[in-house]
Amino acid sequence: MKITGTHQISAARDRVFTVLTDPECLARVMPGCKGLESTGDGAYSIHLAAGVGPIKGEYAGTVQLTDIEAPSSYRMLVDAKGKTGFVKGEGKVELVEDGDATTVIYEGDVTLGGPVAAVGQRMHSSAAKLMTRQLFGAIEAEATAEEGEDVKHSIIRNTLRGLRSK
Amino acid sequence: MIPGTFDYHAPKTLKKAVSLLNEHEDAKILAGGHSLIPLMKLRFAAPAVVIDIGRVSGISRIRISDGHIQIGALTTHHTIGSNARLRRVCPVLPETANEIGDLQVRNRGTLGGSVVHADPAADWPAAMMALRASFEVAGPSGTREVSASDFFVDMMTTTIGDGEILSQIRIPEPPAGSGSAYAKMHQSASGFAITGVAAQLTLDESGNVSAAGVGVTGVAPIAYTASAVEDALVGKAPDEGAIAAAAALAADGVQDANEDHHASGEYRMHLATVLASRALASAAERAKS
Repeated sequence: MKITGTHQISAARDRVFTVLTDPECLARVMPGCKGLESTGDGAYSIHLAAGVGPIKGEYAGTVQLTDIEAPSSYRMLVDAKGKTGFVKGEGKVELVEDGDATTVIYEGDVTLGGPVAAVGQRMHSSAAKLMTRQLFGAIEAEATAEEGEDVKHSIIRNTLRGLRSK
Repeated sequence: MIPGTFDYHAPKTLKKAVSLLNEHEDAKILAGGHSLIPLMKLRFAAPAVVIDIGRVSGISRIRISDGHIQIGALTTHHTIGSNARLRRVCPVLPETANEIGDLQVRNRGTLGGSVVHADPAADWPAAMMALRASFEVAGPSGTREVSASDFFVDMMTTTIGDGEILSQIRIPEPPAGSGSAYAKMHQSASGFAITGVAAQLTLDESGNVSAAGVGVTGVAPIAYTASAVEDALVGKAPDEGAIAAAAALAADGVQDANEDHHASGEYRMHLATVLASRALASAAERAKS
């Protein structure tokens, strides 16, 4: 499944890059992230409770950032599995300055396997888009927050933010 | 295909159901069970507590009074589909009900369960948007009313909070001179809508459209009101030309249309225009008779 798109965030490129690559920030903005730890060299171990509506699955795995060219681009490899299936993916993320804002261009290819792939097929692309909206909603809130401000993230809040900033 | 273990409660009143829901963490409401049970059997959902509202009284009736059609959330698709009065007063409701899944699903599945689940391909949300329905939601501190346009947030996501239960669906009774219809292209195996369009037209004395409601499901992550279609029809006679011109706007403004191995986003958007014109033509026909 291909996941491509662009999203504009009203924050400076350096700030957006930090939110996207700093483990502490990432852990806050990723939908359902229960744990994210740096294991060195751009690699992270990750624990996610991902899902849409009543459908929930816990996944554990690794995220590897490579070809990091701060603050303009990096590549990302994801490999995670849980009881309901596995996900493998790789993609490229580019950040382009657009006045005071930043346009994020993402392009990736994701493979799903196991029960979640066999049964939920008609939902995959819509679910991926929903989680992308939630993610960008949260990134927007995180990136535009004042230093030290406590940003509240919830699925509905982040979805609404994602829709609004579209 | 065997669900995980869970505690089971079967309260008899809505109040008790709400309090149980708020007492337990990770509890899910079970109505007809035709979405939740398959998810639990696949272990895609594994709630610790299931609260079966099947025995709750007062939420499975259809009442038409004081200018409103009120349908209890627990009313089955079959009950709505076979209601003779609804067929006369608001034909899009039984028509939508009879298009859902198969007989087993219609006998067990409920209107409330379907809208709360908010599947992007569900049939009911189209009619709810077209008819300007509102939802009564019961929570620990009383009830609140939400309009259909505020209710659906994103795919499988509604404004209903963790401690709330949908209790009633209210629809303004269509005035004299109204007609409504549902047109759908279904996925043959599941019966889910690839695209579905619900429409209601009200005609004035001279036969022009005085009010129009059009709801589209299956195309976007949530059902939407096709306001461009509605605006294009109001004030006009609903003839073939006017309907065709209006229906062509049924997917206006849709970005990121749903796509899967059954149908591309582009095809779904095309279907919206075709089905809108069919639903509007039937609605106009019914409004005239």
